[in-house]
Amino acid sequence: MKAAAMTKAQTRHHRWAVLLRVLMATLGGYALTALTCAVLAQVLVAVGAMQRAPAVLLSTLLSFVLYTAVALWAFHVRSLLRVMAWMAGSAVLLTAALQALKGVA
Amino acid sequence: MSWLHTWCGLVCGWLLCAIFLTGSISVFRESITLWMQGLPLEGSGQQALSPQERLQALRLAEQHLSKTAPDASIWRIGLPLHTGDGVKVFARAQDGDLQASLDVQTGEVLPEPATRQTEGGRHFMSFHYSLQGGIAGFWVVGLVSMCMLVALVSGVIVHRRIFQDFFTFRPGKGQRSWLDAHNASAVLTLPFLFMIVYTGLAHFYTSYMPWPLQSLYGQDRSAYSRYESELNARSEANTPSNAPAIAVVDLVSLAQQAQSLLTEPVVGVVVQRPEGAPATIRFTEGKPDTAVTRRMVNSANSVTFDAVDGQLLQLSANSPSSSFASDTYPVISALHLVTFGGWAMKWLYFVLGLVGTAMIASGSILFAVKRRARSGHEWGAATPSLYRCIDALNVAALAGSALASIAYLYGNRLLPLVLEARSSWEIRVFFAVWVLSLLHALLRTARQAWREQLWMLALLCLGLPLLNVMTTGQHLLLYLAQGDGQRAGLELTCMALGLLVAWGAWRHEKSQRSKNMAQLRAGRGVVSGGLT
Repeated sequence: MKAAAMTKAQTRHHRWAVLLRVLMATLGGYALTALTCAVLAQVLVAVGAMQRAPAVLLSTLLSFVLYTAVALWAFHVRSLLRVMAWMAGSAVLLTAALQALKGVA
Repeated sequence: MSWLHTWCGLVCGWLLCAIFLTGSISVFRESITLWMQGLPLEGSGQQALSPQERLQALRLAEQHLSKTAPDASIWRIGLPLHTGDGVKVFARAQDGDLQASLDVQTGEVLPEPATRQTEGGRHFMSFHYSLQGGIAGFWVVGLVSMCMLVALVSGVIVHRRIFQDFFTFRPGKGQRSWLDAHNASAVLTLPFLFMIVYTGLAHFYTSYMPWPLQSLYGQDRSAYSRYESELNARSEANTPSNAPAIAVVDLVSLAQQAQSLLTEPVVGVVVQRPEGAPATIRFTEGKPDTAVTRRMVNSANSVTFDAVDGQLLQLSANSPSSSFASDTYPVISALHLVTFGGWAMKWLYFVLGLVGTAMIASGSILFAVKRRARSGHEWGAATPSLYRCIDALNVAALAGSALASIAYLYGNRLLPLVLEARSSWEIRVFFAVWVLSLLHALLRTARQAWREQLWMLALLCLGLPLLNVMTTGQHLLLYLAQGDGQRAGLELTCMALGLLVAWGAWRHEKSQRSKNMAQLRAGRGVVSGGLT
């Protein structure tokens, strides 16, 4: 409905934005989920809450819930730039955390 | 959120429809395989074999194997439960595999029964989780399953009044009716839908999300097996190390000992003689009747002995001592694969799965109906032709995948019995009919395509018993008389679904006709092709 009122350039811009958001939600969401769950498994073991195997089980089973939440969030936030900034920021932090935890283990 | 629900639902809805339909069908995959193999009827009056007769069968199988394949690395023996069934023997030797079925009384090799070479109901299951497309298909199914979770959550948010709307149904009101149908079927099945999609993903949890596993166990090939053995590490109390050893290892007396440790009758015997490792003998019990056990996890238990001194090595049993963590995955799998609750639960899953399929389809149809009333101009000048494609894909997703499924059964009966790779040809029939359905829907208007494909589907479903009589000479009454509930059930279910589809097609035509009449009376005389 909005598309009818758009100019050609606006339409093209809109399409790129949609594509980018879909990619952020699917690929970015998967990467973020994978990192978070890997860190979660490491943390659960590091703090002594669980053995290795149950930690893997729990964090992997939670991953599908987390992925759903991240994907919904990526579509909910109005500004695409903010989605990208948050995703990149948390990915950097989580990667650092993962490396640090692996060093401890 | 509304935008996300609409487009995520539409784009994934077509594949999800087919995945849900084949998933519902594969609940009954064993019955379907039975029907498709088309074995001659055995004659009523099958009786259970006594334990003595079954031990005698085991003795005959052992004699046969030690005569024909004394050096095989694996022997496998399948013990019969009823009179008329043979003892199945299998051996893996260096010069190839050996396989036969023996008479229970005489030990003579029975002739191979004339079955149709078929993938049977397993095809529906393979399509359900991989679209018969290997690894790529497996990931596509994973992706659309995630989209389904996203669409479900956003759907509950979008249809804010969804729970109140559940009690509203306004039939025959076009777009409103489709919305009501979409809401009602979604609310009715919402807990089931969340459960089935989640457990479907979680069933393959370390395949879809291997990163936590890899971060703790490393990336080598044996990481998973190390994880699994740590997860399932049981207390050693299960393995009595001081069990009395049997001096002379005799298969029959070991079988008696195994039977005393198991609850169900022993049906499988495996003798393994791997190179460089001690030989073992494993006895596996038959699958319990899940309607009776009242358990969630119904695995068949087994007892393993040392083949040299008869020492009891391992007893896997439904022990209450197993840990919470090691029970989690079996419960998730059981929830998805309905390996509990017997036939009643299978029927519940089947019906809920079909209602779920209808929910997905009604969402896609709602989109088409809505846009036909008022275009969204999403693609500028190309919008009308893309709407036509969406109409066609809607037809192919629901009517087409159902047509392909029933055509698969027709292919099984109509393809020549001797055909190179016959079972793959049956699967090709499935895909060919699906493609034809899409082409047909693209060539006809939406209204014509729905009408023709629905009537075709109803006809094929209702005609299935007739086809069976003409090709195998077996029919519904014969199955019922012989007490073959599974094969009779398949034909009865197909006929019932055929009647349901015929009713839907008839309703569709009636609503079209009354709509056209109303338009004529209003003096407009414009006949708009559409499904409302």
